[in-house]
Amino acid sequence: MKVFLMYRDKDFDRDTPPGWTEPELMEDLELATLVAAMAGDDEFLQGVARRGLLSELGDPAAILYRQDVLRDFLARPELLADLYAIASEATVAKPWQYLSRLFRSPESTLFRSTQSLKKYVTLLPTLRQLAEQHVEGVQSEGLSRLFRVLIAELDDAYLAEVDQHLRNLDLRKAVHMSASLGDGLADTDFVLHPPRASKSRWFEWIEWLDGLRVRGDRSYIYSARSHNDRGLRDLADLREEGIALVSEAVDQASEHLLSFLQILRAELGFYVGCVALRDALVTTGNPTCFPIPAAGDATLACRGLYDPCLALTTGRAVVGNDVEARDARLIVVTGANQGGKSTFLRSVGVAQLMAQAGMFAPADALEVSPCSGLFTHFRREEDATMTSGKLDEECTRMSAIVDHLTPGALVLFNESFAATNEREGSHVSREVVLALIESGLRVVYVTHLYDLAHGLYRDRLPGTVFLRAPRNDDGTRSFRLVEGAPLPTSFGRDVYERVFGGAADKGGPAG
Amino acid sequence: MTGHRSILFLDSRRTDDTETGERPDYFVDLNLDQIVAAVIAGHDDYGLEPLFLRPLHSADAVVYRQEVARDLEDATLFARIAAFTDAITAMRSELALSAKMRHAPQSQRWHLKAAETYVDAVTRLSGDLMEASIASRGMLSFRDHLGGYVSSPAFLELRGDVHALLETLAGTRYRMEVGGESIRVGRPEAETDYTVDVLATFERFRQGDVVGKVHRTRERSEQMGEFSMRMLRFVARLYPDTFASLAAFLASHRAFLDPTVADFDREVHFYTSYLAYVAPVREAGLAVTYPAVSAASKRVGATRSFDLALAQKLLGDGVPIVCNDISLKGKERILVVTGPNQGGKTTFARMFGQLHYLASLGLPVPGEDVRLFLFDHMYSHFEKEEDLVEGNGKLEDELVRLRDVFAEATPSSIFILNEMFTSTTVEDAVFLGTEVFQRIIALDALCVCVTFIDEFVALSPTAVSMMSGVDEDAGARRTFSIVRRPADGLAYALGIAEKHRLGYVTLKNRLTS
Repeated sequence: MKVFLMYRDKDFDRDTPPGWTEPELMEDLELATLVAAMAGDDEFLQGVARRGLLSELGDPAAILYRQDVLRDFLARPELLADLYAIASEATVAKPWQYLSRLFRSPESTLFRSTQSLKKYVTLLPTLRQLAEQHVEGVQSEGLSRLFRVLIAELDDAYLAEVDQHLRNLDLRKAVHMSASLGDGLADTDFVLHPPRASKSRWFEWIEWLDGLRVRGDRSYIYSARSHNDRGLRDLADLREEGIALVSEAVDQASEHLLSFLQILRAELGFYVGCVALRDALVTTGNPTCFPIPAAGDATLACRGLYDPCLALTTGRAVVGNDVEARDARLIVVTGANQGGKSTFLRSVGVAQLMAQAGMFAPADALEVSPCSGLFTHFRREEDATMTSGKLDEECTRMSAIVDHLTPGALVLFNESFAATNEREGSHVSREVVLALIESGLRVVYVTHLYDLAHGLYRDRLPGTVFLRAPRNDDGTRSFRLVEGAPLPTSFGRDVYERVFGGAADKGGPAG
Repeated sequence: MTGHRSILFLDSRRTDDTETGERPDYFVDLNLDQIVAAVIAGHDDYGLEPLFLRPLHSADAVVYRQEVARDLEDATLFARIAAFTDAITAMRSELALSAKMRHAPQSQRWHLKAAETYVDAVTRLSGDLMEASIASRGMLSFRDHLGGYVSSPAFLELRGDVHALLETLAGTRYRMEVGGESIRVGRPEAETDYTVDVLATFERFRQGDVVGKVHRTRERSEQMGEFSMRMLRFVARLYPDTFASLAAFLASHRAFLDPTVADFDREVHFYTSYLAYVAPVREAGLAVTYPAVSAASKRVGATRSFDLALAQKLLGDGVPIVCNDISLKGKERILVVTGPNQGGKTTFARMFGQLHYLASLGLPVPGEDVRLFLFDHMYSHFEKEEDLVEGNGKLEDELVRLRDVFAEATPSSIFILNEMFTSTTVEDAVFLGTEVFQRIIALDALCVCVTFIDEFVALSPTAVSMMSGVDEDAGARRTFSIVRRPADGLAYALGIAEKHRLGYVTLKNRLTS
């Protein structure tokens, strides 16, 4: 029985160690905001959201598979909530479960684990019911397959079989087992056997009276009651051996059942996060759409692409950008400071991740090529270590990225290699960018290095798109990028003027 | 069975368990005590120390051991021998348990277990030795002995009895129906493992690997109480023949351990414990090799050798080890080591002594291309810290000791002298030291002398001078060199980029490879 809501043919493994790029992506793209919107302060959901968000699916079919499941759940949020509640019932540990371990006696431990198993088992009919109710309504391959499996596997005969086991494993009866003689004649290789049909009480009572006696089938009975306390204790010790066997059976049964419910919970948890995020974005007045995985390997075409993290932080509708970059390995973004360059870059990164996670995208429309890996090289504000020069630090980071690059990867640069003078920085950047795009990678480069941007523009490299953060004539920003040649200066002067209130006109810093 | 006696001694002398070795006087000075203690640590039961206290004096006796040790250098054979000795250790503790048990069937069962361990270990070792490519006289003769032993009627009978009885015992399954106050014990019927049934039902939910079933054993090795006895009696009544065979087995196979096998078990530890001791040193890239030895030629040489005790310590601390070469050719007999303190002079002297001692045990020694002399006696003279404050009384003792030494020393003796007569004036030290030197020169004996008096070198053409130096490069970490270059703008940033292999050509190569 497989859940397979995240992948058509494999489980969603939320325990995979974080990928090499994860820390940088989390920081540079401010993904914590997104994860918070998906999961609130639920640690489990946070982990699932994070892992799901960073799936980086490369196959368009895999992306569409998830999109379909998500569409089903967006249309039926209450079904998702019910399913998630069932799966969570089994997996949220109750405080007393931890407490009981402190006072562990085999018998009480077994009692507890039998109780848990019984509880998990009671979830099964409910699960089947939900499946039966919705199997006809859902559209996605993933959900309808899961529902059909639940209906088939949890039929009445099966539920009866489970019930019989639960009754057999009842502790109040005698434990039936066998053993053989091991080293030092110790009992070894204990094996548990199903109970036989029980004898009537009075018959057993006669046997106790007799104490020890030989019966027709050559068995011997020892009654501890006719001996001392020590005998009772020894008998209890041996019985514990049997209880351990029963415990083992119960625990492993529980474990099997739990392993299913846990994966169910994790996979549903991802969609719970998606639905929550969609609600949050819609509430702030921002659009979402299901992205189209592009056929080519270097396409970014969008209308109204915005940074969802900015939308969530400001809590209102934000400006989106239109880009039409088809077969474009290089997008160079230049222009005014605070003109929305970095925001645009982040929106590209986040949208890329969301699209490759099978989620909706933060845009009116988006068509994007899946990449083989997303990398960010953002200029760091401070170098905490101070052991290497800033340029040296940037080069170290870049070189580490290169070690992980594969053809088809997407690298986002934000003001990289600007730590030295403009000429030097441009030269280094240019060499890196050219080597990357000529080796089959995609690059989005945000820079204020005019020398770099202009040089690339002059070369008229095929498949290059130039975007510019414009300046309106009144000096205020529209935050919407336009296509066009790089302008020779940034607009730091504007920012300066706004901050210092027009002091620049008077020819120098205020004060 | 052949005349195999020992893998340690060529002359068929049995290593005697009562042998007591006294540590030679130079043992502590040369840190041999540390080496031997570390080598035999964890093998206390074998009484190995005496084996390390008997230097050999004939080249053939040394080579006899070197051959065995070389055989054991083979990792596969080494592992198999280790498995064998581990099994014999296990067998001994099983025998001890058997002796401890008061309840007869239990004692008999532990005895059977010990016999099983022994039979399996010996059979396996015999097969392993047949497969191994061994070349030493010692191991070959032991292999012959073992081959004869495992095919002897006595051993075959033991093995047959062990396995037959074990098979019978494996069939003694009994059913228990344990209630709160009573238990019923009987022969089992054909019954399923219910745990398996339960798991089969829940199998369909299983997603990944779940921990497998654990087979539990109930401790009954301690003396049994009333309840356990009674249970066991029930089982004995269910299987009376099995329990009779168990008693018969002990009666007919009370002592099964072959004395030659027992000796081998002990003696092989001499080699394996030492090889295990030097393994980490070798792994660190240092050489431990088999020296050429001679009781006739005093030509001595070693390349990249080192103090084994110190190397073990430094390896533990992660400090690099400095190696040294030794060479005495032709008429050269004496190494006079002078130079600044903390330069490793004492270590060098120790190394010289250790090499000769370890070689005389027939063991591999630190260094490459090693050629050593088989001494009859070795004398060491190491200045102790406390000697410095004692004054004249100490000097007298020192001289008395030296007089005794020279009374018994021969041309085949080796002297390791470390800072003689420091408690006297320089003038006295020169005079006394010269006297000692003249005697050693007259003996034509091998000698290492650490001293601050460089006049000694001039005393004889057989003396060679060596100096310790404080090497300024030693231990210094390699740094990037800083060279002056003209400021040409681009060079700086591109230089850094190129250092990180980010230049256009380099980067493209990285991305396409």
